[in-house]
Amino acid sequence: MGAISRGVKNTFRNGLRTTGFAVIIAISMALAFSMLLANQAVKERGSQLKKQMGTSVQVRPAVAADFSSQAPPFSPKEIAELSRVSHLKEIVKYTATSAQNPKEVKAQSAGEGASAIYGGDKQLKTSLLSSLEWPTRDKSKPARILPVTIEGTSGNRTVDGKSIALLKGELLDQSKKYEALVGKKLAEKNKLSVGSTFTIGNKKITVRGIIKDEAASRGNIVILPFATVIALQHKKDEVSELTVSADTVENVESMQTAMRALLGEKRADVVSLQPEAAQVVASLKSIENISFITLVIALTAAALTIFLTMLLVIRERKREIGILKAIGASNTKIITQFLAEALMLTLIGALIGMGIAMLASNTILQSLLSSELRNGQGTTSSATIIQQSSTQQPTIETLTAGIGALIDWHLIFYGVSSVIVIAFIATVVPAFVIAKIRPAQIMRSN
Amino acid sequence: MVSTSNITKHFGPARAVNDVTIDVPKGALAAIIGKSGSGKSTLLSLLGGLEKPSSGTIVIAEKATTSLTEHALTAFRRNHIGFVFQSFNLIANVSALDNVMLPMEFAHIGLRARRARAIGLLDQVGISGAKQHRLPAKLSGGEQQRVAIARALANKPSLILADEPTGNLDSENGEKIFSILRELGHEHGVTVILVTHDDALAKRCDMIMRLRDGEIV
Repeated sequence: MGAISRGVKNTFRNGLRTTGFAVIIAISMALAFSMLLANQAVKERGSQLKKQMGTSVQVRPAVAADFSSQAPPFSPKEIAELSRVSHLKEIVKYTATSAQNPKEVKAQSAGEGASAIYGGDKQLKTSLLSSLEWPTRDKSKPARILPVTIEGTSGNRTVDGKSIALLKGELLDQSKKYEALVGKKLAEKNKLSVGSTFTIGNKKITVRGIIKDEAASRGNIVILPFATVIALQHKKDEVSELTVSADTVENVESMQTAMRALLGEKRADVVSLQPEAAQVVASLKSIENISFITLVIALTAAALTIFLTMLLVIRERKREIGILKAIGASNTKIITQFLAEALMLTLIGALIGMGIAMLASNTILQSLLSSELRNGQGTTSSATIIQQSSTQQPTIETLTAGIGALIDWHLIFYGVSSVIVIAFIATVVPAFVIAKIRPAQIMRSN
Repeated sequence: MVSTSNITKHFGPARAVNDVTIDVPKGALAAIIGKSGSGKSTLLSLLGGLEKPSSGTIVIAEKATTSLTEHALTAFRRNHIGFVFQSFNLIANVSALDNVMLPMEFAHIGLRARRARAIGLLDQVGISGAKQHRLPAKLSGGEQQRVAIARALANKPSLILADEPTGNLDSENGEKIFSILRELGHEHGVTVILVTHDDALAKRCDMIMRLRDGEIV
């Protein structure tokens, strides 16, 4: 019988005590494993959502808490300051107005005429016929014809940060001032194709590309270079909205924080393009932190339990150590024997703990999720509320659906390895201290 | 075989062994006698390297054990010295056979060889058959002491140190144990030093060393 088998056999020397210790270790391990599984599950979903959210955020003049007013557009100086924020990769400027064909304006009675969607600026005249009608409640009256949206962008992105989906032609070229992208429905309505021309504010515009209609309202759109739209409105270089991109997904949060600090809450709303996802990510981060702290506490408790158990076992068997030393056992042999015993005890506890964790981790994770998301919902900003109401966003339920503490063998491996390391340290230290004492001293002290 | 030169051991101000010089020839059966607290067991521990003397030298089989490192002393003890204790000191949760195999395991002897030798030794001391596979608690006191002697002989030591080997046994079993120890010296050339407070037993040994207050008288 070697030192290892002797150690393993010793584990079962006192069945009641072994059971007691194994149960205590198992409880700590169950908690540690549950937290490890939960931690990994939320971490994974968090990184998935961050990828989904992309690297861009929107910066808009702040809306007052009571919605009574909105801060003025951003000045070139403010944009220059913003561009120096660390991890910032790209700023895309937006401005928007609307244009309507004089014939359409005339055709509608004064009270039923369309108003501009953006900003309330004076509408421009255009040769284009609108592709968007809004039915009135009074069926006897004709549907309202909505004006064409004229959007100015300094990059090839839509105002919600997405890349422009081109169907025909080419994307915008900022140097080609009077070349525009036209929504598919608007192009169809006006029989426009790449190379066709139309007018806005007496300027001749050439169709450079036809873009995909992502939503009904987006079909009735003309996208022009930023400077062109500013010039058409005879305005200063003011920006009504910005899309700012960070260099990596990981740096989006710090970039957002820096921009908020720079502009101040009253000046600008710096919001995620997917506020629900951002809220879920924040909640997941909170769960990740909670589970990590609990994991550390549970592992420390497990380590302490193993350490104290082995300290007790080793102290109790001092005489045996003395006898073994007297008949020629080296310190290594003695430590190996106790190490085998501790590992056996720990593995029993860890296996039971793992079993409990596999059964309980999903319940624990779901209860953490529901409580965190409930807390998170109360802190949604006014800007988020506006965006939630104006755009179609995924709900918290859809974003968190399917998060499960999946059994990952890598995690199990890391968990078991850490337990083995803990058991190793918790045993070697007291065993080494005892083994260093002279055998006669050990036997006398008993 | 065993010689000491002016060995002293003190625990704090108390001197358990004081300036002891002895010389025990090879194959002799020597007895250390004295009253309780006279320092007999401490002297035996010093001879066996279980304890280091405060001063003086001990030479066993021409090796000065007092100058050995802890690691070397453990190896020396494993290969040259066998111990028999009054309270047997067998490992409780392994069988008699495994107890005898232990010192050989520590000496890195292969499983088959140590098993065969352990069976042989147990047969020699009169523990045979199923008894060899019993836990110590399932054996009588005399049988346990015989297992302890077999264990002491496992690595073919040149010196056996026995601390009150018959102290916990009845006279019949005590006699058997004494006979085995005496045979070891006479037939196998093993030096045996035993500690006892039984004068009658000591008188049957080849030499007697009487201790009083830690000194040889």
